[in-house]
Parts: sequence; structure tokens; C-alpha cells
Amino acid sequence: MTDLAISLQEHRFIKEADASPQRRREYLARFWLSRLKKEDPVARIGYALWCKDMEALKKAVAQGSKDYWNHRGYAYWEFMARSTVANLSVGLQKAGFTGNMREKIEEVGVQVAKQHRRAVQIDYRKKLGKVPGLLSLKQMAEYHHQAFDQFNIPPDYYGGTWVQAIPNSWELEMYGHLYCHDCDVAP
Amino acid sequence: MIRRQGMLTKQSSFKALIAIPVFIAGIWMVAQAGGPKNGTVRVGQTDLCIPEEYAVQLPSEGENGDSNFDTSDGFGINFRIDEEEVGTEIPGYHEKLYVAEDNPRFQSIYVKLSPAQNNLEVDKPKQSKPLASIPKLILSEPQREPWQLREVLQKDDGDYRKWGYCTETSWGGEDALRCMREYLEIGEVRFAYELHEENLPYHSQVDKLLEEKVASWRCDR
Repeated sequence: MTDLAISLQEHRFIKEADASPQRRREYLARFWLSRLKKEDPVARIGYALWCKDMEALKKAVAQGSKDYWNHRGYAYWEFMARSTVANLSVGLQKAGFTGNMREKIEEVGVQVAKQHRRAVQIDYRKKLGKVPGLLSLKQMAEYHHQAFDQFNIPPDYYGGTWVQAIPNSWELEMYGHLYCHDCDVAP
Repeated sequence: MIRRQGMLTKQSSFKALIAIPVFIAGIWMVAQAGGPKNGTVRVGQTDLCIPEEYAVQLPSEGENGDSNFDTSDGFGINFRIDEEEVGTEIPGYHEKLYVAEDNPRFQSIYVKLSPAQNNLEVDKPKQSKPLASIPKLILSEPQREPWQLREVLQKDDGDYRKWGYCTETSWGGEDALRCMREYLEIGEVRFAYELHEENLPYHSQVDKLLEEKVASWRCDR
């Protein structure tokens, strides 16, 4: 595994994502692609969420190591990204948000990237766990909770139970149909 | 196959007959030992029982069979205090901060729990730059690059203790300080939370609020 420290370029991608609402998605994708190249495990979902299209994700999965992608195909990661979007939509509705869902989800994406950066920085500095800069599932859950909190999204919407609360809103269409009938979820 | 399932069912019923009195006895023993009260979640082996409305459950390590992640210490439970409660308890605390008009960021306190280490005193640092308007908190290292994580110490008279970290982050088009209070330790537990620059002047009141909460959440109360 390469050095997992946050690079200056990654800092810049986050700053640009924050400052440029029209190009937010593009900069988030660039941030997570950079983390993907370092085999940061959080980047698998991060990149699947913000990459330009399914072809880009397919290419990234094909080029990466099978161990890193946890022996799962691109359709699995795409499904995970879609369910994350569904979860966020429900969480934001639960928080009382009624505006442009796409924009708000991108704002949450920037906050998550910022929290990821900080969690990696602290882990790297304090040499926590076995590998400096490599986060645990607990650390990942914690910083997602912290990012969600800023939008009043309840913490249980992280890795939560979206299946029980799928909204009918059109916003989910931005990532295509919610259900992925042809997903390859098998290892 | 069907017969086997039937046998299992009979075995399960037998086990259940034994398990019920054992379970009842277990509950009685926990109650006698001052165990978790109704509607509370116990933190590891500590004497802290967090009310369910504050407790936040975390996923257990390795739950999803993904070995790419690291491991970390913790109790599987954190807690959060709603921004309205913090604002009620601490006059002046900013419950919401805005990145733009009609675009608030809620400033609840999300508290991460981990085992205490009880070794927070440090030597006088070579660099000592107080945070603006908070002279007791000092940045102990220079800023070499943008968004660098900078260690913060708390200075009380001539003593220095680890406090946490601050970093500059973009906030509505400008840079603002966000700080992580990493080293509040009460008994066997370390508490860590995050504060935006605007709420940094209230850091000692937030510490006090957490100390009061923890005292009221002792399982043996």
C-alpha cells in the first residue's frame, strides 16, 4: 500500500469542490480517484458515487487489484453508491430538507470528503491502528456521522436501513433506477 | 431434511426451557449489580450508561467481511447532544452557522468515545502561538502548508496539556478554523468532539457540559 497521507493536490480538489458548485461533482471524483490510486478503501464508494459514469467505474475496478475491490464487480459498487444516494435522500427528507436534492447531496459529499481528509490526517499523525492513514470501519462511521450531523441527518442513515424507507421522489432518478436487478453482488 | 428440522426444533424448545430461567436470573443479577437502567446503553466495562436518545451505535469491526480497513479502539458506542440542548445549556453557543443565506450547518456535539490514556502532560513547546481570543489554547507548531493539521495545547499557569488539533478549512468560500478537542478524559474514557471557530470560545463550557452529562449517566446512580 502506498503512503496514505493527504496530498496538497487532494486538499485543492476539496477546496475547489467547495468553491465551485457547478463543478462540485467533477472535483469530488478527482479527489476520490486520487485516494483510489492510493488504495484507500473508502475511495471505492467515494469514487463510485461521484465518477462521471458507469464506464469510468468499470475501468477503475478493472485496473485495480481484486483484493482492493474486495473481489466484487463494478455493479456491486455501483449498487452501493445508488443505495448511498437513496439513504442520503431519505435522511435529508427526514431532516426537513425540501430544496434541490441533487445540490444538497453534493454538499453532503463535500462535507464527507472534508471529514475524511481530517480523519486521515489525524490517523496519519497519531499513527493509529496498524497502518498510518488507513481508517477503520469505526472511524469511517464516526466521520460520516459528524458530516451528517451538520445537515441534521440522523446518524442511523449511515450504512442504514434505506430499504424500509424508499421515498417516491424524482430525485432518485438522477442515479437511474433505484433497484439494480442485474447487480453482481456475489464475490 | 424435514425430519432434521423437526429435531432441531425440539432441541431448540428444550434449550429455550432451560434458557428462560437462566435469562431471568441474569436480569436479576444485573439489576442487583447496578447494571444498565431501562433505556440506557452501557459503554464497555465502564460505569457509564448512556440514555438511548443520546447513544449512537457504531458498526462492529470486520462486520462486513471487508479486510481492507484498519482496526481501532473503542466501545462500539458514541453519543451526540442536539445543538438546541447545547445552546440552552451554554448561552452564546452558535446552534447553527451559515455557509450562505438559508444554508445552515447544525452545530450539535457528536462525541467519540475511546479508552483513556491518562498521559496528557507535555513539555513546554518550542513554538507557542495563542489562538485568537482564546489565550489558554496555543498552537504548538508553525503552519508549513495550507490545511495542515496543527497540534493545540492547553496552557494552565506553567503547565501544558494536550488539547487537540485545529485545521483551516474552506467555509462558504473563505477559510475558517475547525478544531478537534481530542483529549478530554473522564475516568476510563476519552471524549473527542469537534468545534467550529465561532464556538471555540465555549470549549471549556462544552467540556463542563460533558462532565456533567457523564456524572449523571453513571450506571450506579
